[in-house]
Amino acid sequence: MRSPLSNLAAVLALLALAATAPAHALPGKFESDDVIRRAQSGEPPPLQGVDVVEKLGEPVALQARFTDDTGREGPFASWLQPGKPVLLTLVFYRCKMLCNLVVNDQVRAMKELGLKLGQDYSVLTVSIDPKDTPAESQERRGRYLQSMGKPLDADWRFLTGTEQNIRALADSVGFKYTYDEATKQYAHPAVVQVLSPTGTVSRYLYGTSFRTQDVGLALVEARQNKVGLSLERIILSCFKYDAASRRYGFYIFGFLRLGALAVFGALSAMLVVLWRRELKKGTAV
Amino acid sequence: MSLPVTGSTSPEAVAAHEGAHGDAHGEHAHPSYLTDGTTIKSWLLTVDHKRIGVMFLFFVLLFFLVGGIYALLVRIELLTPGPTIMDAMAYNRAFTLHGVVMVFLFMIPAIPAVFGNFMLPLMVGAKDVAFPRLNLLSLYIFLTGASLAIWGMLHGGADTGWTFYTPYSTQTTTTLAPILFGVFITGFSSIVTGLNFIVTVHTMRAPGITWFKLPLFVWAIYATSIIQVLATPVIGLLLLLVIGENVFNFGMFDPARGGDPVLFQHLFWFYSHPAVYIMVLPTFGVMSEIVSAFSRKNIFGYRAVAYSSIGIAFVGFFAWGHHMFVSGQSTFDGAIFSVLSMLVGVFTAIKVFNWVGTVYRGAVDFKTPFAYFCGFIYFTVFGGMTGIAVATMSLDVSWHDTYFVVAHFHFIMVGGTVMGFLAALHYWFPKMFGKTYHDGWGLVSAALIILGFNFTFIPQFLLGNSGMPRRYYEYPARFQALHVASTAGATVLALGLVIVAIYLIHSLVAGKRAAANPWNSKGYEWMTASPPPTHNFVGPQPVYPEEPHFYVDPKKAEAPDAV
Ligand code: HEM
Ligand SMILES: [Cu+2]
Repeated sequence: MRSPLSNLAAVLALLALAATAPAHALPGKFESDDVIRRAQSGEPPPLQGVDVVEKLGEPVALQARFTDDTGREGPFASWLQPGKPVLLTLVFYRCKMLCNLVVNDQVRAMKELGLKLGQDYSVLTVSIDPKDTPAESQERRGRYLQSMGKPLDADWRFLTGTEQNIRALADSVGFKYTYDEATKQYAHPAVVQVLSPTGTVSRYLYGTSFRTQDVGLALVEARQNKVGLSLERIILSCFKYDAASRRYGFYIFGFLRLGALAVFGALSAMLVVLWRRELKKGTAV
Repeated sequence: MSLPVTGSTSPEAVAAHEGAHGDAHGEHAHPSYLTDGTTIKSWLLTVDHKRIGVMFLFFVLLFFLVGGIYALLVRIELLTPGPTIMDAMAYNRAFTLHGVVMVFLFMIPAIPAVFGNFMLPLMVGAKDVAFPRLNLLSLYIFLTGASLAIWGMLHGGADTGWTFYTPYSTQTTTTLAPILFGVFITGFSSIVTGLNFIVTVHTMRAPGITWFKLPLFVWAIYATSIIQVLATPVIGLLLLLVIGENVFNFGMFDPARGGDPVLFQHLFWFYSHPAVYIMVLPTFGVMSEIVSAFSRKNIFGYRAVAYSSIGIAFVGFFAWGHHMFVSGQSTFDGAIFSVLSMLVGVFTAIKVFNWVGTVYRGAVDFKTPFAYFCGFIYFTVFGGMTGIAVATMSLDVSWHDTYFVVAHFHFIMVGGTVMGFLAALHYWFPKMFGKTYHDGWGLVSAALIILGFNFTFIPQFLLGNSGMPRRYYEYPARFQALHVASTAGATVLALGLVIVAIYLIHSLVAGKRAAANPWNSKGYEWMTASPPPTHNFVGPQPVYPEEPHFYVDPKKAEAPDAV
């Protein structure tokens, strides 16, 4: 009797999809800044040298050295932890708009996420401005954690470094940005990189309004090198990253596979029980 | 007084009941299931598998009539190359309705829900199915789905064909959603019935009935049930997706939005190909019973027949791609599907050889059910051969979506199911209703039906081969002669069916009382009164013979007559 269940699951999934659809159709909240509008609508940035060149599956610059908000200095790799995928954002602290939008929405998604910060994943925010300092890191960190309602020892570090180290890290994830003398601002893409626990690039989440579901799925996917079959992995099999829409889409074959497994499993289990009972009683043949 | 059983070989159990029923008072201690409560409510709320089977019979026949009327409308429309009696849209709706009703409301439930329900518990020596209430529920689920589908058809109908192919089905403005949802609901009925039968066969067999003493009809229904439980959820999910597409426009099958248009076809045929075995396997079971009863021989190669049912059930799941040779699947996939499809032919051929081997040197009693058996063998062999032909990729590229395919599936699937259904109806009619019918009319109508069927579909083979596409409203004038021949054949077929309806209804109303076992069959279901009492058996359980179809081998004269 699993099949009605799997059908039910499909109905629910359809409803869920219907419910989320209008959310993406909403127009951007800020019309003023063209860069932001573009970022929000997922359009490519207009500025020369601002882009993301996807480096999926490639290692990030693990040797690049940074200093975190506690003043500890070390290679990037020293902030990676076994089993924990990482949400990596590249921002600068004096940023007027875009960085805040990106990080604010990241915070919103993290709050809504079923996964637990520190337990299921960690977060690293790296400043692309070499003039930013660990003290500023600490101040930023406090603000965000407070807004999230997290304790101050949460697993979210803010890193600063030298121009050369920053460039090495940014290049390794394909994050292309430029400095605009006129406004004294950095122009950069709106993106969150998802890294595997060993520090390879796993996914890019674009824009300033992430789907919580996408963030969760990307993290689960990034954790893939962990053995075992968790519930998230099963759920993930029903979604597939669609390069064209840059979103996780509904993967029908995944659902079908799950449904088929459930039905097949239920029927086989039933038959095994029935056959064993008969063979034990000796009434079968 | 019941008719004497000539040369009675029935077990004592039957003889005992015979006496009880002979008094014709209707007053004895064990009324038949038909007279045990006669109020409408006693029928609608019954949990008796026999009454549920009879109710299914009523509705399935009703849908057969509806589907048949639409078939005739389609045929009449095609009498002339241009418009004849309806416009193009009405034509599209007519063939869609015909297909949907025939497939989902007639062929799929026909044999399992009617005869499976009625006979299976009798054949395993049980008082009922394992879950009697669920059984009743499955009837109401079926009726709910069917009503919804019919409602949708009356309120606009659909024009997609019974295959509901995307992208058309996601765009059509006809009222598709209720029809799809109705079909979706009837699927649950299939699943519930299938589960019920599986558990019944496992847990309800009388002492002494081991797996290899099961009548072959039980094996066939068991195999069918497994397909039903495994495959039906797929089409359920798919129909929901199409409803979702049609109503909410998700783009799941739209390549412009990252969807996959061919996905629908894969999923559809993943169900619908096994579904043809849901339709035809029960017929195989019926035929195994009938051939041994009317040749008075045990079935030749019992185990081969039993195992090949399971074999067909298994391979049937891996043949769906033969419907998609021209849908852009790779040539390699096509070749694999081609070969796997032919494997089904091997299993079917095993059965045909066994049936023919059973008749060989048998003492054939040529009654109406046997006539349908002959028709069935003919349609299976002919239809099966054309099946091998259309499973050949290079040939199907030219035959695909022509009348050749229409004729092929009518031969194998409709020929198979309708022959099986009519054979079962005639074989078990005395069992179910305790009445006899006129065998002469039975033979005449069987002849008309088989003949009419040939005249309907052989012209369609020729039409398809010369390029007449399927589902076309108009056609070039040069095809007209064959179309007229096909319509004439359909008329003969319809006439045959009308005669069947007349004499069976007459028999119900005014027919002679049938003997408990008018065919002298050794089938287990005959080891009780006809019609059976509510709890199937009175007194001690019958003693089951050593083999399921235990006829005296003419060569072994010394063998005991009765068990
Ligand atoms: C009175 C005898 C019958 C006649 C004259 C008849 C005729 C037809 C015709 C002309 C079509 C349309 C072919 C097309 O252009 O697509 C058709 C389709 C079909 N028929 Fe019949 N048929 C008859 C009986 C049956 C029976 C008894 C069944 C099932 C038990 C059946 C099942 C189907 C199916 C499944 C289709 C496919 C519909 C579709 O493609 O949408 N037919 N039939
Ligand atoms: Cu097929």
